[in-house]
Amino acid sequence: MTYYKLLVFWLIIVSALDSFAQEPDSIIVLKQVEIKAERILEEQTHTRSTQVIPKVSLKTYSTNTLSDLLSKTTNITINQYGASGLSSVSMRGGNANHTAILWNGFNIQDPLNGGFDLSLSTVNLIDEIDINYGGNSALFGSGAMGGSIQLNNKAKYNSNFGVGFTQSIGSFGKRNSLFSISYGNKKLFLRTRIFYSYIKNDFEYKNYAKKNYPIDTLENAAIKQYGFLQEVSYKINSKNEINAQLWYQNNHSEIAPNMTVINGYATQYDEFLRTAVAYIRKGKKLDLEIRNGLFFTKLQFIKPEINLDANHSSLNNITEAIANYKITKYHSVLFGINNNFIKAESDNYNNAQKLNKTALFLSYKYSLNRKALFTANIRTEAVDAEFKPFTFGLKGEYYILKSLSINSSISKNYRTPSFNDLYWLGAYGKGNPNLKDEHGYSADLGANHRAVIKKLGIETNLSVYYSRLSNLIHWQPEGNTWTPKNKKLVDTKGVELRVNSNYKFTKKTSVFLNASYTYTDSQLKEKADNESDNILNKQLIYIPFYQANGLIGLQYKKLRGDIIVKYVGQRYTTADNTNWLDKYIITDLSLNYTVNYKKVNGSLFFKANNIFNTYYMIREWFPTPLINYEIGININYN
Amino acid sequence: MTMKTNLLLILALAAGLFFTACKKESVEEEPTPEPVDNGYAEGILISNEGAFGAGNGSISYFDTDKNTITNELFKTVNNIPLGDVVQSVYRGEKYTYVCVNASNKVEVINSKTFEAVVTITGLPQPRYAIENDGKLYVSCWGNGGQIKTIDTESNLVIDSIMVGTGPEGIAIAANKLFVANSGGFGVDSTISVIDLSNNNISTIILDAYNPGSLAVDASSNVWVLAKGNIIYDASWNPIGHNPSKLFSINSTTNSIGKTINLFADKHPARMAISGNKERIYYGAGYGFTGIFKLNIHDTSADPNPFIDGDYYGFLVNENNVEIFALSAPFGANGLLTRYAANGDKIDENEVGVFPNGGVSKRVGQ
Repeated sequence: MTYYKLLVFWLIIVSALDSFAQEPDSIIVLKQVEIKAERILEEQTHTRSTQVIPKVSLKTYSTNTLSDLLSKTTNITINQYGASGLSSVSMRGGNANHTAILWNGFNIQDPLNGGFDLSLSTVNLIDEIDINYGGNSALFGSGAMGGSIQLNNKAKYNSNFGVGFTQSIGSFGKRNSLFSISYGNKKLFLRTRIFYSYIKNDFEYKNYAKKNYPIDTLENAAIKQYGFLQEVSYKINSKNEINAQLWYQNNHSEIAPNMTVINGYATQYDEFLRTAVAYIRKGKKLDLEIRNGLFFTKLQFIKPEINLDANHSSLNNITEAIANYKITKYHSVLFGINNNFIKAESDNYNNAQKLNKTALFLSYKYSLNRKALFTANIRTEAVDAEFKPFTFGLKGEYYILKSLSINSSISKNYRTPSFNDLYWLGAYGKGNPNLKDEHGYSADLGANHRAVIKKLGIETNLSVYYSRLSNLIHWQPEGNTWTPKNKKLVDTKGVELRVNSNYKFTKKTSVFLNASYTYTDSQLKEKADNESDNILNKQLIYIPFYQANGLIGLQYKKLRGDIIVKYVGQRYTTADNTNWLDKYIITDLSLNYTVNYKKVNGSLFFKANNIFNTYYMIREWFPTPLINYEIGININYN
Repeated sequence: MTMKTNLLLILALAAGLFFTACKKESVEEEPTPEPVDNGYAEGILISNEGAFGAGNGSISYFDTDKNTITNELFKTVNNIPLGDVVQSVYRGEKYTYVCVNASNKVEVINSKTFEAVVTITGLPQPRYAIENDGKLYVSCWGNGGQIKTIDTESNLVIDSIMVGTGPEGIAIAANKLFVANSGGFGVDSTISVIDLSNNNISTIILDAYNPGSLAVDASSNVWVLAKGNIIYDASWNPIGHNPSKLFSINSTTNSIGKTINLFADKHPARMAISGNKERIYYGAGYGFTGIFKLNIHDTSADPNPFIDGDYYGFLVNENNVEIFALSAPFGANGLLTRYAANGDKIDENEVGVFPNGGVSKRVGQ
């Protein structure tokens, strides 16, 4: 707690400093945030409250998974079922399927279960990550109820010919290799990235499920992944661009059960192919974007002890056309149409199931440069010619000072039931094709402060929010079988605070200090029929009231060192809040030394995670590793 | 404030942050309490399955002298979790055995102190245990359905016997082990009978589906509750039911004595017998309402429940014929409702997550 108070104290002291002196060139933090979004919808939604993952974090975690990156650099709640199990997100009290995961603008949540496994995505194929907190279904569609995470690839025109190679090795058999080759001139950009990663995860852990807590070694938790990402971007002329991406990945995960289970191993094969093609026109008056995303996913889950070998596959096609017309300097109107066709086959469905839905959305934006910003969005979706109720979103940002803005938003959001909820068929459970969409309202109020005081650059974002998610789907018994119903209601209120800062002592030396803090009060207000009354008005399981993280970095000449601290507060493990997991603090160390020689630049990096050997659990009874290391080299020719 | 003092302040606080962050969080290791005979061999033990995958199965102890409940008995005494899905608890001659289904193990526990003695592994999805003549027999759903034999001295698995699908309830009569093949995740309609003198197996075919619970009555007849099942078409649409039935089997001849039809379209999950082995109780389970009573000499079932209400499981206190009815609401701890021999409600107590049954038999009974 002392650590906490210090953080907060520091934030208040520094943020309170007056901030009129501008010295923009010294500021590394702020430059990063000013990057303009290329996609129309991202530009439409980007405000100062958008969290942009710093480039240096993407670099630090380039050999890790998205799960590692997000859990260490944001306060999004990450639920990870052990070292090699599913890892999912929760934002603002929502479930895993209440956060839209967008890759180059396309929602890549799994149509079968609505979720997204963060442990299957490696950071080194992603160039930018932006996070918008709060619902935004009116623009991003189903699923964007608690927030949205944008994973983007970015073309580098005029980058010439480049070859890059990264190799790292680490504890528990970790190997990570990335090879990239690229070419960019004024008109064309081409890049191929191929990666391979493996981790055996045979780490030692304290087995709290055995008498005297012996040190055991985790077995059957290896993850092997390989894949490639191909990008092509072509500027037809100054206004028109086409780009395409092709992402293939193959994953083989051994899934170890929790430590109370003997044997009980499972294996999962995940394979996906994601393609995206876009035509983008940027004009004086009219911006246009026409794009298509086609995604194939295959999943096989094998659990020998119960003779389970389940296969699932899906095809998901998204076509979207968006036109943004600038009426005057200040006013613009956006119109979009989105068609989504999904076909899924599963051992748990009777036949191949299909869904075809079309959405229309309209958005108005008023923008007075660095003074005020206002957007109003509205969306309707039709399934089989039947229109659903409108969803909407209003968002405003007002600059009180050049350095200080306040923002507010209110939105109505929704999530379409997953295929499993609709079509599951089996002796014990049966999907419900009559399920309605889940609904939600969210509202927030925030302040954003961004200033440069001589050599100090600092950015602060503070938000308070309220959200209500209703009609939440829950499986409950009905007669002799289980079936999902729209039942639950969750109210969440919370506070999010982020501070990123850097201080440039000299040309060669800079200090970085980042901190973030969240408070999440997420309570169940309406329950399903088969649930106990004792779970009403209780905090949702695995959602900590308090989370914080901090980063202290030092750049001296070509050496960068960071200490990254993550705090996760107490989390309840049962819905009646009678059991819980204790809070923990994990500290990581990262060092990076850059080397430049003529056209070759490279770096040597070293990471030590959990340097204080803290015993902790993310999910009850699932082991986590003690101190572990990774060392690697990165060489680029350009 | 000048810039310089600000800077110093920042650095000082940064250093402070770093060093406070260094403070290692140690996990509290409470000293294991000195085991004492708390009379755990006397009262009633309730098995709480816990939520699948959460590793929070537990045992609740009901003290029949004080009428008080102690939850998380195993965890409290041993400071370790019992495991994932506690299917059943059984009091043997020397030890108490807990079948932890998803954990694939049986915990061997000192009956008096409830101290963990040893963990028997190599048991694929154990369901129920019974002891006879220095051997513990455990029904296991895994490996196609097996009875594992364990030497109660060494606690080692010494034999595996293949039986039907989803072996569930087990009972011993006439030096034979009767195994109810419940069908597991599918369908079965047989009782496997293992002659304990030579391990020869024979099979009794029932005119009913999914026998799960067994009980031996005063005349050494083995009672079988076949819960029946729902019949689905190829698209998993329910198109009918196989009815639930009770059977009594002559344990000497293996022949079916009585068949009592219960419900055409309802499927009671559990059965227990009174201490004097004269009255059968059946009912409870998902989608089934009520607990029913039948005298072993009855020839037809009473259509009215003895105890009304939705329960997940129950047990009969063999010492005074009280019924311990167990309800299992989702997300929270379960509830034990005690009923007197005449069906009057006595009291309620909170127990663990998903209570399904338990044991009242005392050592030596």
